[in-house]
Amino acid sequence: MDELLREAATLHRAAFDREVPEEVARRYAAAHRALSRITDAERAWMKRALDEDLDLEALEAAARRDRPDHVLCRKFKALLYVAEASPEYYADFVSDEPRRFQAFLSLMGHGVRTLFKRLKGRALLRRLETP
Amino acid sequence: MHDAIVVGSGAAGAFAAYGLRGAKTLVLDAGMPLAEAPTLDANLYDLRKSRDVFHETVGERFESLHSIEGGELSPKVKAPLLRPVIERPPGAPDIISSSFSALLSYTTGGLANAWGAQVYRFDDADLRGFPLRAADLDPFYDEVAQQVGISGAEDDLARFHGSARGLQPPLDLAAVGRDLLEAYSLRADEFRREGLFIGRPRLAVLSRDHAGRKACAYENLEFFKPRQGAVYSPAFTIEELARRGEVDYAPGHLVESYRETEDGVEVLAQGETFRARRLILCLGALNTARLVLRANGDTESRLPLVENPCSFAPLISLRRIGMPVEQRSFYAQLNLFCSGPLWPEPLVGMIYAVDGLLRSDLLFNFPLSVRGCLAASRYVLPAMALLQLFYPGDPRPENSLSIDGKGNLVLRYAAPPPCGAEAKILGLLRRTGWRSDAKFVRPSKPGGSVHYAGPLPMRERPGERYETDRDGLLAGTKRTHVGDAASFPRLPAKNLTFTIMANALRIGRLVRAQLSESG
Ligand SMILES: Cc1cc2nc3c(=O)[nH]c(=O)nc-3n(C[C@H](O)[C@H](O)[C@H](O)COP(=O)(O)OP(=O)(O)OC[C@H]3O[C@@H](n4cnc5c(N)ncnc54)[C@H](O)[C@@H]3O)c2cc1C
Repeated sequence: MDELLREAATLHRAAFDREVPEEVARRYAAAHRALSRITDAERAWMKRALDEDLDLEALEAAARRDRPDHVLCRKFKALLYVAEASPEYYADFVSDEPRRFQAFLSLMGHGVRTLFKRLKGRALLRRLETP
Repeated sequence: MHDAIVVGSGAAGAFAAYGLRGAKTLVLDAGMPLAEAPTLDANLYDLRKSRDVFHETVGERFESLHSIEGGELSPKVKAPLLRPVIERPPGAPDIISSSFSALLSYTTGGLANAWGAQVYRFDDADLRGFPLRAADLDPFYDEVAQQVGISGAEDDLARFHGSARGLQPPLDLAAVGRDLLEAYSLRADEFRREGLFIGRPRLAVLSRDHAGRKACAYENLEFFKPRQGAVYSPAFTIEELARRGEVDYAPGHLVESYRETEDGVEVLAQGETFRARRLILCLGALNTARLVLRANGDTESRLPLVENPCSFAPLISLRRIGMPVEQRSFYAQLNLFCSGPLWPEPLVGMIYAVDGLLRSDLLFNFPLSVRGCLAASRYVLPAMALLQLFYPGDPRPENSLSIDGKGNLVLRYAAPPPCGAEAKILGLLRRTGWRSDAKFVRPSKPGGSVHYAGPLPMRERPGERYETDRDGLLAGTKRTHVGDAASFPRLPAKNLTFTIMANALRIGRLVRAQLSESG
């Protein structure tokens, strides 16, 4: 459980750039009841990524493209489902106002950032594969 | 002893029972109840802004996370309060299949508690292979439409939809629907020449109050809230018939077998025996076929299994990127038919808005890092729609249904033939400013359409034991009728449920007439 709470905190920082609320962390941990396919090897992979304080956003961006079923992708998805249900995250997911200019700027920025993160993530994935 | 027993209370059972009004009818049903959703009492976005909606959108059992580990469930049955629509009660059969993911329902009202409510009349071309003509069904479509309440328009699709008698005005379009329809209208002649027709869907969703039910309030709750009054559920009809004393409704009865006797039929349900002069089976196409095989103790025969192959493709309009979310909308937007030069037999498509879905269901499809995906959720999803395309389904020798020694359903399904109209359709849709690409097309896994038919096909002159006549009477029996799509020999691309209802009503009426003739 403690390991899952630690995971929640790190994944949350990577996705939302802020600290995880207690309730979201608790629900993230509980969500693992529904993620029944996680193997011991995958748990060990996650632990190592956390221990080494690696860039999880980069790892996920690379993994989702090359191995969409990767444990990190599943865990980010679980976190986002749980977060989305809470009103504190409304503005992270939904835009209520017309913001055409900001949208194009933001998407272009994220396009470039993703390219960079994906390259970094690939290198990190390779490193994690070496024992 | 009742005059008639109807098994099942879904689209078929409700209208078979409706047709039997005047006879003493018992509806036996697994009939699991659906929970009320009193807390979903406002617009989805107002709720999301003001309070935690974990219980209703994700669920204490984390139902909405189903897709994370590769499960493919329609978002219509994934959410916690809608999941019971497809849950299996103790004693119900297992489905044994590695190639066909069937959804079965054991609730009052059946699968149509979660349906998309698109309704289509089959015309003579659609009824190819049936021993029926459109004229045989027309009066029953009209009567069902009156009961259900259907909204829609007489537009470019009138030639496919047929009669507009009793139609309520169409639902309000969301911005994505308006945008696409306007762009289509500007070049409609060109699209028609190419064989692509776009217009308003006919929906069993009220745009005006009807028969004590309230019109659609555009709350975007279709993916979370069961039994909204505006969206028709067969449970409404069954409950009304029971309230008026026109049927005896007995939920909580899982029917295990039946047999014909000298003067009637006996139906067995969990140790109890029920008797009637006639039996109409409406357990859903797959469960009806299973029961018939079980009653015959037949674990050898392989019956035809038919479904509509279907696919999904995202559509994006650059014009709408950065626009605000559509807080008040109903997700079914536009209906599309392809015929003539595009495809030999008409194909049917639906274009959905995605505002009612959880963002987490979609956002990881964007080729961006997780933070980029969140930005896309805010700015790109309001510019997105989903196209679902249905193909006709025909019986093929490699697709079959049987039962094993324990009475479980065994389904075998070879991959459907490659479909292939999507690239042409997406190419044409580009001209409306709505873009996609054939590489984003995702074919549904077999079973995914939830349009099942075929195992007990109706024939002009039924020969085999597992065929029915045009009135649903099972070959070799005197009193056992099939009221659901188990008797449809094939499926046109048009969704089948309106025809299930009209045909079940026709059969119910006929059985009632025969009962009164024989005193
Ligand atoms: C997400 C979704 C969207 C859909 N959208 C559309 C659409 O837009 N348009 C359309 O035309 N169709 C749609 N469909 C398909 C439509 O829902 C089905 O075609 C229709 O509901 C089938 O009705 P039915 O009465 O034949 O069977 P069911 O709805 O399966 O009903 C079966 C009934 O039999 C009972 N039963 C089963 N086994 C037993 C037993 N052993 N003993 C006693 N009772 C039993 C059940 O309790 C239930 O009442 C959709 C389906 C889904 C899931």
